[in-house]
Amino acid sequence: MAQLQLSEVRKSFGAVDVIKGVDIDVRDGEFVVLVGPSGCGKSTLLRMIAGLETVTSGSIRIGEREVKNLRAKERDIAMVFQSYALYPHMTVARNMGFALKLQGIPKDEIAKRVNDAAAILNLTDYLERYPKQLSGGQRQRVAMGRAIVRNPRVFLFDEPLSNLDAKLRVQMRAEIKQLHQRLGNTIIYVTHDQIEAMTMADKIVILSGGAVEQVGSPLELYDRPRNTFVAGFIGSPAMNLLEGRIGAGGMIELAGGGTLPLPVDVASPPKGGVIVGIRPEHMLLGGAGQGDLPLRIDVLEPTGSETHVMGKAGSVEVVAVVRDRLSERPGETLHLSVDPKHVHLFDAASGLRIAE
Amino acid sequence: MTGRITLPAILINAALILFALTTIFPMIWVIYNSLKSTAAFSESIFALPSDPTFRAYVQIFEVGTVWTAMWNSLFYAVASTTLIVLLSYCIAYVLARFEFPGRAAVFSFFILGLLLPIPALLVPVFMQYRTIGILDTQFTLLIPYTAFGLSLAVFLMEGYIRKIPVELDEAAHVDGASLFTVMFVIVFPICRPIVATVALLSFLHSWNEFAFATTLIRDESYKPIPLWLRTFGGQYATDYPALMAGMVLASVPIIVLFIFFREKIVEGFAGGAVKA
Amino acid sequence: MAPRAFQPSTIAIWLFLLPGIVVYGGVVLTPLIGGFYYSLFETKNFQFHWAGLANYVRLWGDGDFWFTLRNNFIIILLSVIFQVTTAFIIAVLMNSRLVIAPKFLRTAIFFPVILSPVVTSFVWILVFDINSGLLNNTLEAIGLGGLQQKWLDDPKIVIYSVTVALVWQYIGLFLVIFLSGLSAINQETIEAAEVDGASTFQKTIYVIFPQLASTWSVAIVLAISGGLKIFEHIFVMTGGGPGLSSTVVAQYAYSQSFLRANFSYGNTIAIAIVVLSLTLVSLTIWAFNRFVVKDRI
Repeated sequence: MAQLQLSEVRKSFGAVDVIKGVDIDVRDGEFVVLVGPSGCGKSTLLRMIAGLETVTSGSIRIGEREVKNLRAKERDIAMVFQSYALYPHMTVARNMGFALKLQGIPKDEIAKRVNDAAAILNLTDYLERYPKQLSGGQRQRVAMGRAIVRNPRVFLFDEPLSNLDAKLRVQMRAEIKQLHQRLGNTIIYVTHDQIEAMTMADKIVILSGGAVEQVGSPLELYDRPRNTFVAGFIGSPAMNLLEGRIGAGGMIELAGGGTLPLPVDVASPPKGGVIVGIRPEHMLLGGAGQGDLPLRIDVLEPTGSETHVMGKAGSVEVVAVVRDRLSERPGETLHLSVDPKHVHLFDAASGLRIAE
Repeated sequence: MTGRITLPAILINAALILFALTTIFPMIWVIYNSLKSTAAFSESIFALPSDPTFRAYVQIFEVGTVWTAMWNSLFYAVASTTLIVLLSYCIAYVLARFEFPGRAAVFSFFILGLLLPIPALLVPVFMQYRTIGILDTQFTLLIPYTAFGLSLAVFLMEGYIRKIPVELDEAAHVDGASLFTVMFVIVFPICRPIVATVALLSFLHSWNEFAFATTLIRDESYKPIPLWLRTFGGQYATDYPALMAGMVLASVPIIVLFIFFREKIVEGFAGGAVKA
Repeated sequence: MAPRAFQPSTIAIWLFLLPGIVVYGGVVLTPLIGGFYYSLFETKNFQFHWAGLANYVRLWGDGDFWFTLRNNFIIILLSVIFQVTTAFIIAVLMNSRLVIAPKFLRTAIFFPVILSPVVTSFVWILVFDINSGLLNNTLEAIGLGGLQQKWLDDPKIVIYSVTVALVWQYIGLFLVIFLSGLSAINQETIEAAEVDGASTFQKTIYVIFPQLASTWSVAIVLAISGGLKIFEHIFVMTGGGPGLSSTVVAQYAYSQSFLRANFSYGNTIAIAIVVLSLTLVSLTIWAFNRFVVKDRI
């Protein structure tokens, strides 16, 4: 049974369509991440689910209920905002209990549920403090606590970690994931950070320009991106996308020089040529793989465990990540190859993956 | 440059402090002379009272009209301040948070009040009040005092609410709050600093106002304190200590507020002028 | 801002606005409309007779009106020179770290702003009093007895005397306006100028002054609209006298209505003041935007 179901959801401001017919099914207890570059409509979509933005057309169902025309408070959802939106004049306890108080729940019941949530979130000692007396991470937990006490059908998170520093972000990422494993609620989580999406999600929805590019598990998206957009968006450093065409002998001839192996038998090569995608971490040194990609080194970045190589193949920027420590210097040429099973092939005209 | 003592620095500081003293000295002079007998005053207008007396104050209180005037002013000031805060908050919240046809026009309409030469409205307002028949009542002055306070209050509050993240309102809506709850349980308490500023400025203006009082009120029982002082000053024009005692009485609440809330008051005046 | 999902209906929005609009409109808008209406009549023995624009024709040729308006302009001019400019200089000095007690100075200079005009008017009646006044006595005490004047009773100087009272009371308002304008300036631009070798005077002229252009526009607008708002001080201090010598337009409208019982003409003057004030203010704002602020923001 779908806990949350969006079908053909659209939103327009006058003539501008910001959400162009989105379909998403979310199962009960699933952790779904909406991810995409800024302006892709992910926050708008989340706010439409929350009831903070109007829906131009389509349907949003939570459980068995159509909620498109319900107000936010009637949808049985809770939301964690990017700025946390804690009420500055209320203590942590009152912040967390405010929704329950509005529902007319008795005081001692509110206190019990607030205390339970506070225990889960390590906030017990802070219940009588005001938000401005808390650190960023604590505020973030209060915002989550406010959602937890209500035990809603769906949790909505709007870029909740973007105001934290890098170290805290990693820590909170793990905490949220643990919390999800413990409570088992359905979560819709918006972020622009593909690493957050990869590490946290059961299912990722990639949005671009108000439309869904691909839906799938993190590894599906990593292994089989449906098009060049997804290929370039997921993974860090980003996948190298090189223009080429299928030549004789089952090899791809790159526009910037060099050859790469074909991953699949292509029955009818696309007329407009192909785009080859290779993740930097799949580049192999010398002849360890197939093909030959000469790379003129611009910059070498040793990180200790691996070496990032930035350079040009012809006139195209290419990045490779290798486990070895390199003695070459900038200006010299490195010969790279690749295992055919790690080559992604896209139609240059449509950008779509050429199926195996 | 910090801490360097140079001749120009000394001269500049001396000049500024002298200037600042001229701004507060006259009121101090009024206060200590109000404690003199008329004889002591005519002896020297500068000297501090050698034999302080509350004679002037006793005399004013015995006549008694000052009590009515004080009570009236307090009523006008408190009532108009309450109305200004409530009405301007509703207007400012709606203007700051919602988009609707006529929004810009409503905003300009209220801001216009900051630029109008208010005394020019005395005669037209008098004519309108006479036509309707609401001159000389307990509530007559409440209307203009509230109205003229609204412009500044709407301007200050709108700017303040605009800076409160709208996510707070949204969080409250998600939490199940009605618009009324969002406005008065969530956003209004956050507006406390600006509400305090607006309330202080409104109180000062209403307490001090004279032009509309003298135009719209004839009945002794509705006269506020500035009107009382004008009449009293006319009657006691030669009893200087008594006149000064009257001036002190008319200013006491104002001075007390200023002593306790000078930062907020200054901020309100400065913030209100910018953009006006 | 896009309409939000929780925005109430337009009717509900207007219900929130309505009480304020009614109260405010009832004192600002309808009297202006009514005032204009009455200005088209003539008052005779409290009866109104249609007169068309006759009152405006009369106003145009009314020497007394122009004389009182001239008094307003004297006040405005002197305010700009002595009040606005002095406030600017004090504000810049206070901002320069040269001054030892800026908080005290600001509070002291601002203090008269909050006093009732009636109270400050009496203060100045006492200061200007011929015999027992602070000013004449001080002049005598420091051996300048020859400079003693009948400050409020000499038609030639009375308008300047009342202007002194106004400048004194409201200079603090302009001071805090400039101080708040100064605090909005990035202090590093001033420090950068210091590092570049600019003197205090050069910093003020080349760095501070240009960045305060919009604050100046606010101050000038305030001086102009304030100068046309003058009423209570003169009403209490001199009643406009001796003769017309210290009367300003607002008081002229008042005395035409309540002393001469010519309400139509009083309304005519009132409408003229409103039109004049709004025109001058708009012109000032326009001029500042056109010639001063334009290239700098």
